[in-house]
This record gives sequence, structure tokens and C-alpha cells, in this order.
Amino acid sequence: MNNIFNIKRFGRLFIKHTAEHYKSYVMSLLVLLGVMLLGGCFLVYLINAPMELGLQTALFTGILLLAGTIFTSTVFADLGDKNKAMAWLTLPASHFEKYLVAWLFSYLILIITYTGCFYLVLFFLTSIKHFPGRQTEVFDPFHSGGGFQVFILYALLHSIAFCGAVYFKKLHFIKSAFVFFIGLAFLIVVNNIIQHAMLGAKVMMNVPFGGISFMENNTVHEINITIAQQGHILTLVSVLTGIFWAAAYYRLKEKQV
Amino acid sequence: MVYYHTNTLKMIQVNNLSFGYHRNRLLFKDLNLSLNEGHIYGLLGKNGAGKSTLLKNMTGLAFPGKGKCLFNSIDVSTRPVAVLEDIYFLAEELFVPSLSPVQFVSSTAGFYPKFSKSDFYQYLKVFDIDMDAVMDKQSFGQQKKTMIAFGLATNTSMVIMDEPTNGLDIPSKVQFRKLIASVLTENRCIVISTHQVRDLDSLIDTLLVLHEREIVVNQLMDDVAEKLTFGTYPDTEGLPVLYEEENMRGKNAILQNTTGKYSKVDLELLFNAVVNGNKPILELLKAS
Repeated sequence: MNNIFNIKRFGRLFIKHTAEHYKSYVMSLLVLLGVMLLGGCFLVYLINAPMELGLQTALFTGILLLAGTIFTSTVFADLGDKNKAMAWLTLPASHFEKYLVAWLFSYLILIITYTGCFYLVLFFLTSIKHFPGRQTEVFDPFHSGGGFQVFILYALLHSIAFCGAVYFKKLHFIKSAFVFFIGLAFLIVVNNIIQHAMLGAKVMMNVPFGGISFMENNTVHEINITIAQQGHILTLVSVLTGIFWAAAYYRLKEKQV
Repeated sequence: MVYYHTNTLKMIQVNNLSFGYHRNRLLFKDLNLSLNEGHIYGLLGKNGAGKSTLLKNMTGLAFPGKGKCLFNSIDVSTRPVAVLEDIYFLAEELFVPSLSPVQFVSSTAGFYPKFSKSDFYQYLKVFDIDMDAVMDKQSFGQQKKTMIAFGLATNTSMVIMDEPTNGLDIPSKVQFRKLIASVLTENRCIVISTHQVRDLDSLIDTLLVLHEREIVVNQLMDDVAEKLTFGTYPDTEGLPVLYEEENMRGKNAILQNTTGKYSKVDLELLFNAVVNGNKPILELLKAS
């Protein structure tokens, strides 16, 4: 067990990682805050109305997915540099502990700090301009309609970016995004071919594991998934996420210099 | 100081190692090597011979295509913590974080169970390193000396150094040699790889030469001196010369030692003889 996980050693590794990276992490956080603040001020000025829940949800999700995956793509950047990789790989800590530190920073700590920053900016934006007679609702990612799913969706994209971070040596984000979109396009095409073969009708461009739209007798038919089936999709996304996280771990174990 | 044992323990064992960066161009083929505790090994080889690659295989940074590298009977390619805690590898090009030596020690020393802070600060003093200066702002030589001090202070059983004297000035090289000689214990094994042959003079006790995908020499320096005589002669005519090179003062030559008298091993001359494929010398020094 000691060769896989030791809480004392893990603590040491966490502190070492923090000591060596905190400057760049704080700078990244300040940039994120700056972008949210500037963009938010511009938005408030532009729409001239209280920020609706839908817009808040979209902003929260969009920025989290983009900023989170960019950050995650860099979390194993040291492995792309031969000298840093040698120091990192020969450091007496297990692969699992090294993996877990990177995971914690790019998933758990990122979500907590990002959510904190988002609300800080949101409260600032809702207080700089008042709209009499209109109450501003504030988005709650844990209780708003399906808000929690944001973190499951982020987990999936995080796991893909995490894999890319270990696999690629340079341009991690661009290469991971490229592979992701190519893979997605391939899945959509294969999905449509299979649906066409199953239905024998002209199918529209459907997203895998979603509903089906197809044309028959000049009429477009739509079959949507039920709420119970949506639960299955969440399970599927979780399984896929687990597979990508596991793949990243095994890739890390195989890393050579 | 050399520790001779009747039963020296094998620390590193390389068994039938085959490795290549490209599948059809092997750097090593069925290479075998044993390194024992209580020795300072000097690993010599031409540029591109694969010294660094061999060291990487020995530390789990590269995985053999065939064969195994064992450290105290544990396969290093899985990089288990028990192995990493007991091997310190100093790479030729190193990375230092943006921390002072004091900060670096407080964040990293804990990973090495036998680390000695007092040793570290003493070695820094020997190398004349400012312990509060940020490492990545220092010169390459200063960085290297700090990491050498750190590596030796880890007190790991195995210390592997790849071109450690690159970037060091002459006084630092002298300090380095003194330090290495002073830290060898009977349970420790030190491997120094270099192409600067003179830096290993009077330091190593065992010579390893890597040439054309195999270890062609693996001999104690005392055994080399027992088998070969090194000298400078105005004229070598009539002498049983095995290898010679001309210089300003005459000829540097290697002869078979038939008198039983010991001469100082001229590492550079011997290395040149070996890499030039001198068969009589290779036969005499055949790696076991």
C-alpha cells in the first residue's frame, strides 16, 4: 500500500507542488477574474437589465468549461520538458499520488476557486446597477434546474483534457481540442449511419445518445429521450469520464523520457 | 577510499537489456551489467554511445524493449517509491525550481528518508553556494553544484550522475572529486558518466566503457593497473607496445604489465585505445 498511497507523502507532494506553482496559479486566477469582471461589466452595460438566470447559467458553464479545460491541459506541462520530466518522474512519490495532486488542482480546487470568483463577480455586477421593481435572481449550480450537471459535464471534458495533458508534449490544449472535435465528428457520422440503417429513413444530424430526428413522407419526426433515459446518459457520461481518467493514469505510469 | 568485500552485494543488475528509440535501430542488444555497493564507477563512452540512455534505463526513466534493470532485485521500470527513495539521479541538463536551496530542501528533502540537512548545508559551504539565492536565477554551474550537494545529502544507496562536471569551473571540479571520495560508504554505490575522461582521474575505482552497444570494459582500476603499464617514452622501438599516441615529449604508450609494478592509469589513453578497437587491450580487459 505504501508504494501506492501514503497520506504523509501525499501531503508533502501537495505542499511541494503548491510551493513551486503557486505564482503561476495566482496569476492565472487574476487573469480569470479580470476577464470575468471586464466581460461582465460590458454585458451589464449592453443588456441594461438584470442578468437572467439562463444567462448566468450559460456564463457559468461556458467559462468553467473553457477556463477549466485550458488549465487542465497545462497541469502536466512539466512532462513535455525533458529536464522537468526527469525531476518529476524520479521524485519519490507514487504515480497515483502525483496523479491525484494534478487531479485535485485541476478539478476540485479549480471548481471551488472558480465558483468563488464567479459569485464574487456576479455580486459585484448585480450591485453596481440597480433596476427598481425588478428582483435579481442568483444562479445556484447545486439547485438550479439541472445545474449540478455542469460539474458532470466538466468532469467529462476535464478527463479528456487530462488525457491530452499527459499524452501530448506540447500545445496540449490545441491538440486535445482538435482530437476531441475530430472524435466527436466521427461519432456523429457513425451514429447517423447506424440510425439510417436502423430506420431506413433520412435522418438529420443527431448527437449520439440524444434524441432522433428523421424525415419520412416529407414530415420531420422527432423522438426525444425520457427523463429516466436522461439519467442513463448521465451514467454513461460518468463511465466515459472514469475511463478517460483511468487512461490518463495508466499513460502517466508509462511515461518515459 | 575503496571498500573491498568478500561478498559485495549487487545493487544494480542489468539483464539482457535491449533498448532502442527506434524499433529497427537498437542502442543496446542483450547488454548485461552488475554494479556493486562500495564502489565508484566511471562510465565512459563516446558521444552518442548511449551512456545517458543506459542511466535512464537504470533509473526507470526509460523502459527496456527486452530484458530488465533491477535495483536490489526490484524492477525499476515500474518506478516504485521504495526504489525512487533510494536512488538519486542527477541528469546532465537539470531543472531547478524558482526557490532558494533552503526552500527547496524544506519542500523536497522529506521525500528522502535518509536526507541530512546538516550534510546539505556543509556541501553548499564547500561549493560556496549562497543558500538564500533563488536557484533558477543562478548560473548553470551554481545550479549544478546545488543539485550535487542535494543529491549527496539524500544519502541514497545509489547515486547516478550524468556528466556532473559539465559547467563546473576548475576549483569546483576539485571540490567535487573530494566530496565524492568522502561520501562513499560500504553500502553506497556511485556511478559517474562522463566524456571528460580527465575529470575521473584518481576518483573512480571501477572503469566501465560503453562502446558499440555493449560494455566492453568493466574492471577495477587496480586490475587495470595490474594488467597494463602506462608511460611516456622518447622511443618505443623494441618495447611490447599495445597502443601508443605521439605527443610533444615522445610517445604515450600502453604496454602489457609483465613486471608486476603498478603505474598510474592514463584513462584518456586507455579510453582512446578501447574506442579505437585495440584488440589486445580489449582481450586483456574483457568485461566479465
